[in-house]
Amino acid sequence: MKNRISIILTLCLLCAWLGGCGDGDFVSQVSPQGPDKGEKPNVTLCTDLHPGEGAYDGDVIQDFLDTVPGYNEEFTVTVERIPQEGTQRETAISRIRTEMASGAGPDVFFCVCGEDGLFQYPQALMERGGFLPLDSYISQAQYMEWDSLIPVLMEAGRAEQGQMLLPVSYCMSASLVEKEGCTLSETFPLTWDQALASQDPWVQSACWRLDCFDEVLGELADYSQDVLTFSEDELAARLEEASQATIAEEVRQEGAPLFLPDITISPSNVDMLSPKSPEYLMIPQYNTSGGVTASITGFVGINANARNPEAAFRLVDWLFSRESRENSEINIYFTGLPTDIELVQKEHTLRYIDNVSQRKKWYLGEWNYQQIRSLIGQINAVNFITPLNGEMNTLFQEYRAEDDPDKRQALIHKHYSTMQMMVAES
Amino acid sequence: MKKSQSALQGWLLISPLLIGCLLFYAIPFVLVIQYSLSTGSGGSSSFIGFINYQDVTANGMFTLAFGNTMRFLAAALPLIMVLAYLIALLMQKHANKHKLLKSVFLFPYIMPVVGAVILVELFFADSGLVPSITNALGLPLTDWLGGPAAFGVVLLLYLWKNTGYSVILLLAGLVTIPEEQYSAADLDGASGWQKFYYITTPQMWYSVFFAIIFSLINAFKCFREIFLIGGTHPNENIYMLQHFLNNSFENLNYAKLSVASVLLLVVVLVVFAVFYGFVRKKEAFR
Repeated sequence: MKNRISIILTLCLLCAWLGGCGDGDFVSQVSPQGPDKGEKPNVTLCTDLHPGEGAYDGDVIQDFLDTVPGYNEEFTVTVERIPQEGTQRETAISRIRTEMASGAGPDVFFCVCGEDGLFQYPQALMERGGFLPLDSYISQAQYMEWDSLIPVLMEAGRAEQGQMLLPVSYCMSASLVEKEGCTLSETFPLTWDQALASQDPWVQSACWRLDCFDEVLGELADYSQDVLTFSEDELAARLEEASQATIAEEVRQEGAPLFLPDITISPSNVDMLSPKSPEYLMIPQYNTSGGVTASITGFVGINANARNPEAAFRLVDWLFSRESRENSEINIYFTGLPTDIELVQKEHTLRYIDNVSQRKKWYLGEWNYQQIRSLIGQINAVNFITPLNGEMNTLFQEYRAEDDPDKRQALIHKHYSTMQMMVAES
Repeated sequence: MKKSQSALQGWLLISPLLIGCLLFYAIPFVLVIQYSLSTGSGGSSSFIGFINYQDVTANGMFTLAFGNTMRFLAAALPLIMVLAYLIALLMQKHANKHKLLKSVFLFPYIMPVVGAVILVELFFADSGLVPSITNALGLPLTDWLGGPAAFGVVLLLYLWKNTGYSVILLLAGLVTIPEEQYSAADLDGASGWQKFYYITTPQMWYSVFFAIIFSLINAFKCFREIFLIGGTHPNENIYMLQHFLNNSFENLNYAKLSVASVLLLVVVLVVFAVFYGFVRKKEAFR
């Protein structure tokens, strides 16, 4: 009798325990056994696009998939869309991170960079081999226009093992001066110090920052060593210089050419830069090493443990095709300029969403297009946007709002320590 | 036959617990050690030996977090034991009379973490009671929650929250000491210190040991309060190992996470083993 009671009790406890291990709302359908035999391979696509800025139309992704050659005929796709905000987002991100820790997880990722993104430090994860090297796949790509992708940006997604991340979009900061009536006396590129000391009022004024300071120091971290690339003293010096920078009197006086300081070059800044904009001279915001800092805003990568890497790459291959980048609205949600610079020209169709959610075509006139090409030629530092950028910009804003030197010093120390912690944990 | 049946029953009854411990503790523990010696995860992982350990121990922020954690333990454990012991000794004679007092001591322990943090903010935030008093007295302004003083605030919070629990554990040991021994000592003219040293202490090692273990566990739980006070990246004086572990997981840095966990386990095991060996030698275990 006692035996039976103990057996029954044990079985009840086991059932209760196993019953508690149920599926959650966002459990991936991925099986870790490998490609399905005799069936079409299934690719799990995880999207983390445009987080925190309101819901986007879920059909955008399905519309993109419907155009992918071979979709549903040669392979199928399961889409895991990370919710854009709220506790559901945190739950989904935690689940995906746990799956990746156990060697599973989605096959391919379409992500935007950001402080609360799925991958907060993509370069660091890349260094640790979290993504699949894609060189062999790229060499056999059918649709990707690799040669028109900006090399210096694509290089940012390359680690020792090969090309692991493919930047899809980026942005840069520059000051825009109406070409009419303006002649620059400096020869570019310049260093940050040279720009500050320049006698040319336009160049000097281009050092003025509205909110963003993160581009001044170039690449912010060395993720192979887990250290920042600048010291606390250097940070303090650059902060002081940036906070002292002003817009010169000659620039502000009536009748002077239109001057738009600290503009993010991106389709989303359509009020400043659009097909109807005048011809500008673009003065970049130089960094301390004498070049321009570009910030990657969107990227794609394939999980190092992807079950079906060949099929996963077909999505990536099509995403980078001209046809997809011009016609698929999924590209809108990567934000920023496309890494295929030729798309910015009038002959192509780059889309954006204006402030009344209208889908419109965006391009630049020939002069402005050449100006951007000139900026691209001066890029010598590339950052994936990470929480470090946010921390840097927050420090800049707090620094300017504080007059007391001791409190400023305390602010710098506090934020520098935080950035050191961030990089150490990345 | 009856013995084996009885043993089988026992094994069956504890099997769910054993399976759970195996699946959720033992196997993950082995995996953590594997991760700490590899790079990548799953099928793409490769063994790299102790390179992760070298990288982590050379990392300044890890040593800061580790040092802060050890500093906190070194300060908090002796303080809580002394405080709890003193209170327990004071309550020893009146343990059966004032049962409500024992419950009152546990109130901070059962207070929700958020409630405790709100209390701390009321006292130590920039517009809190303590800064208002210090300002009124003309004392220099101190950032109690965002500066070096945050360590003291966290220590104080830990002591306030967990002393009651240790008092209960120690009091449970004190009341088991026969009263006759103290009476006999009184007859022999023993002083209070002599009674404490020769009667109380030898019979309390076991209780002290358990009180220290639970205090150690509660010290690590203090991360919740520190997290709510300072966020994911607090002031460098209260940047603990749990911050490093928690943030490394969010950044999918499982290697660093595993290394930090293994190193922490080693330190805790060493401390535990030393103290356990010490306690076993005492009279209470003979």
